[in-house]
Amino acid sequence: MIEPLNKITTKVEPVAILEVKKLSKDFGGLRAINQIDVDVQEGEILGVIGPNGSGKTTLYNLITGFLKPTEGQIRFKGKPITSMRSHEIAARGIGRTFQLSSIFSNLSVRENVIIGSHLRARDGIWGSFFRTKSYKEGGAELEQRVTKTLTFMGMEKQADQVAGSLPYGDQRKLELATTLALDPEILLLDEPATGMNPQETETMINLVKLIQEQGKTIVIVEHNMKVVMELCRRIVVLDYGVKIAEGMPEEVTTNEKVISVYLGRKRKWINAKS
Amino acid sequence: MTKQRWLANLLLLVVAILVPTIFKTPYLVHLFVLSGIFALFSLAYDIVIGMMGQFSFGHQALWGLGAYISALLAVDTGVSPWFTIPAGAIGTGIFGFAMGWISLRLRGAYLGIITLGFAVILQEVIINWKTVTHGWLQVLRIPAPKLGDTALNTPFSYYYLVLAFLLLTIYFIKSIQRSRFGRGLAALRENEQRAISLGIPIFKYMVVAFTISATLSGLAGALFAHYVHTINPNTLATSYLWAALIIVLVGGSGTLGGPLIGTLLFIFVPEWLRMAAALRFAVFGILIVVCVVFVPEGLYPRLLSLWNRFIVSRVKG
Repeated sequence: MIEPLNKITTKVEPVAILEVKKLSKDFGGLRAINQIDVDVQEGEILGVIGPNGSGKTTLYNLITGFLKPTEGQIRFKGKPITSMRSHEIAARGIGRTFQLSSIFSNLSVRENVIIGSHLRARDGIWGSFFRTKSYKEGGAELEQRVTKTLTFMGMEKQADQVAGSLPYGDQRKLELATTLALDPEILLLDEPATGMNPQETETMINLVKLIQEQGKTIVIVEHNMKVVMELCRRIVVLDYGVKIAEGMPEEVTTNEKVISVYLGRKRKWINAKS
Repeated sequence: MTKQRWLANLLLLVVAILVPTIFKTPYLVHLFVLSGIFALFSLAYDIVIGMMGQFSFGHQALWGLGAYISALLAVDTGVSPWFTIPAGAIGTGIFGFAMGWISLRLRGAYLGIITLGFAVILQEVIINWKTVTHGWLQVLRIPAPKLGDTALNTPFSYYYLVLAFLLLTIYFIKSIQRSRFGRGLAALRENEQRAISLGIPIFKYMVVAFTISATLSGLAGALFAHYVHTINPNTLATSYLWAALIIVLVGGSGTLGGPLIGTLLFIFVPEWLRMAAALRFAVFGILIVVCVVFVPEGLYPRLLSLWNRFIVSRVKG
């Protein structure tokens, strides 16, 4: 074996996979998002917290192209995506979930995940009409992917149930499974643990950790501080569309501005920390 | 597909092929020819209504356009119907592409209105562009396609032509349902926002589906023209839209069997109702209302679920 002459050792620097620069969004006279700068580093789990109405979901909508910003730029893996259409942004590798569980209620669990795998599916109309080999292979491939995803989420037994008939916690799991099937590089989760009991929350936390271990970057908007403290290495705090704090959980939760914004919930924060 | 389903389909196919032999009366076979043509149109219409889950009140114009393109080419330029019928379908598809590209930026009632607008405009063009379309003077003596020296101008012979196209269409729609594209359509029908967030390019998919629907509607219209041998601007009347809509709603939208059952009922029930004489269409109307109110999912899905319950109870018992 030939040894490389120069072993290039590069210093591993944190790569910003998603960059939000001076982002603003006006709705008529209301400035919902005001000059926000956020960098999401590859492989991290970033928390986004803030009171209701602080602009967290609006931020997600801007990043994923459901809304167009008034000012500012968004870059994904170095390339600007600010003016791209939503489905293109998703195809580029940004997956998201919604605050109100967004699933295909009339379809089965399996079909939901199959749709999630849409961009990777190889069974197009032509192949379907002429029953080509690649169509059949594509179908088998799809089956495998879906089974793998369902097993990872622990939902194999529910595969043929109608999605709308699942308990709420499982619907949220299904939403996450479907988003995973997209095979995105970054997942934007919108309150994944809301409405879940402690057991379901624990399962969700473990799943998110596993997803990160697979090399994915995750951003979580959450109100449940237990989830945020356990998962997030960094947190960003929004209030009235402005970033008021950013840093490690310990710094952020002891920040006076942050505490005053959550006035009356100081006790909850201290409890969450322990 | 389960063995049961496969056998049922085979049986239906055999019966369909033997229809002219079973029902010897020309009038009955004529009704089956009309059923085949309307079934094709309804399947095409259901691509938009059932598969895509959107409104369209303009499909009667697509049906009529296919009829006119094919008929005018055959009558005024003497081209064989074997070419004009596909030309009618493709020409309608092109128009349908433009219609869809413009209209599908809207949803719901707005989409319904704009498609209706297209239909009205098209009908006016056909009425007024007399030099090309003959206006109200009609397009007469539309020739039937010829096999060698024999023209297919009997119900018996035309039946097989229509059946061939219908079977091809059924297989094509089945292929769509089983493909990535078909799943994408189902996704955007069920939850548009979620479909977008999973990377599905919904506008593109909707325009493609609408174009396919338009092409098949034009095909049905062309087959109609070469069967009835006369068309006029009334061929674009909303009556054809209501026919397709009733068929799809009563039979069951979003399924293959729905439009098929719906068409047979739509064509044959009024015949059976002749016993009610003058009240014939009143009764027909009441039956339609009863169906849509009490069986909103459609008769075909309801029959299927009853069948499954019956079979399950037999197996268990």
